[in-house]
Amino acid sequence: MKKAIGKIKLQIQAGKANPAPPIGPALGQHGVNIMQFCKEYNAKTQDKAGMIIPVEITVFEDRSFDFILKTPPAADLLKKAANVEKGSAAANKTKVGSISKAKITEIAKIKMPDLNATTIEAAEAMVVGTARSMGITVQE
Amino acid sequence: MNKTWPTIEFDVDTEHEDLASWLMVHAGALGCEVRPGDQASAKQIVIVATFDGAQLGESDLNRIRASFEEYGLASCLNSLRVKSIAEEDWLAKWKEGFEPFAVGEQFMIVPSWCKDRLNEAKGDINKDRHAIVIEPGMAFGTGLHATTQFCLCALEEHLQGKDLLDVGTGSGILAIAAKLIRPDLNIIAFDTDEQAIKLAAINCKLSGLESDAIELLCGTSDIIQGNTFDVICSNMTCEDILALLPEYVRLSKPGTKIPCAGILLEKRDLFKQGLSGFPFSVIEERVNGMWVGIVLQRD
Repeated sequence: MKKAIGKIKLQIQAGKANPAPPIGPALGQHGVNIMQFCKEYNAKTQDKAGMIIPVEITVFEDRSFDFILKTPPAADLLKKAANVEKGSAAANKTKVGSISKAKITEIAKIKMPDLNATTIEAAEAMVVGTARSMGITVQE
Repeated sequence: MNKTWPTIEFDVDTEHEDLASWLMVHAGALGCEVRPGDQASAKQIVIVATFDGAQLGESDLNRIRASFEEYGLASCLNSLRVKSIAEEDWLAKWKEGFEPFAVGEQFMIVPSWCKDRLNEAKGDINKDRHAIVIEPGMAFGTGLHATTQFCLCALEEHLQGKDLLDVGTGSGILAIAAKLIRPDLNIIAFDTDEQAIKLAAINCKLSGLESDAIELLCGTSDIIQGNTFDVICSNMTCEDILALLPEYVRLSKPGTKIPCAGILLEKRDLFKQGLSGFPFSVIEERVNGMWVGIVLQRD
């Protein structure tokens, strides 16, 4: 088995990877073929255009790499589900949209693998917290 | 002067990684690198957000500070650090191990720093092959990738007629390959990235082609007007190719061959479904690892 020499985590936009920062310097220091990573990341995420798709890259001793895609940020999923352009600039006063409890559960299920939550209820609570700070109300 | 990218670094609790990165991207960041925090605080990570442009103005920073406060991340502001990254050759380390290699039956890909070996009787560069000399810069197409190799092999087999179009030419590698095996071809290659076009011109020269051997254009497919082509090279993602199909109808004629690479195996069915309603048939299909290469022919 090849020995891993480093892990790199990036939060980048789907289908838009290019060798400029943050990708170039982050991968370059490990001697990774940057263009190959960009091509493969873009091919795998092109159908999620407009979303941030985090990626965790493992670099091996022979400078080859492997990567796994993570789930999009809850804020992105909420924005899409509530059909709002952006979060509220003053979440306490201005509400920009609303979302059903069922949608919260759906998003919590998507996010579950990447959240530090052991139960679906705990994941839902985290998603609700993000929704509130964005000015999105949850319909009971 | 080298280009620089302004960055914003800050410490944040692990549980807020998503939200903090999302705020940065919505503030205009190109993306974020997530680094481990210092040993003392395993629950914290460091987010480094990179922005385009010469520098971040005070109004940009105020907007970012305000969004942190609004979203309950005000505690991050104490650790906010504004820095910059200067452009350098990030590919340098990878280049160290890049040696000439053969592709298909006819090509040898030679990195620019090995060009001198072309004139020496060294065993690692096969004199019977066409040498494509490239500077592996910040453009797609080093020849190492399975998708580029599929297109190079497809060119060996399917070059026909007298006019070739290379869509999204990147390093220019496919256009150069076509010109080397068929010097009589009229070749137009375009890319939306100006840097790619500059690099393609350099690679043409390195490969021994005259400056006007390939017409290199910067822009989208709109810039190609009034021509139809016998071969259209299309080494892009599945979605990009599908979006261009109406343009390929305009730019092709009956019998035109279109080598399409850059399609993930998992998207093969999506690609084929996307062909429905267009006058193109699949005449060849090759799988290489996670990629599939498909040659289309205009009906």
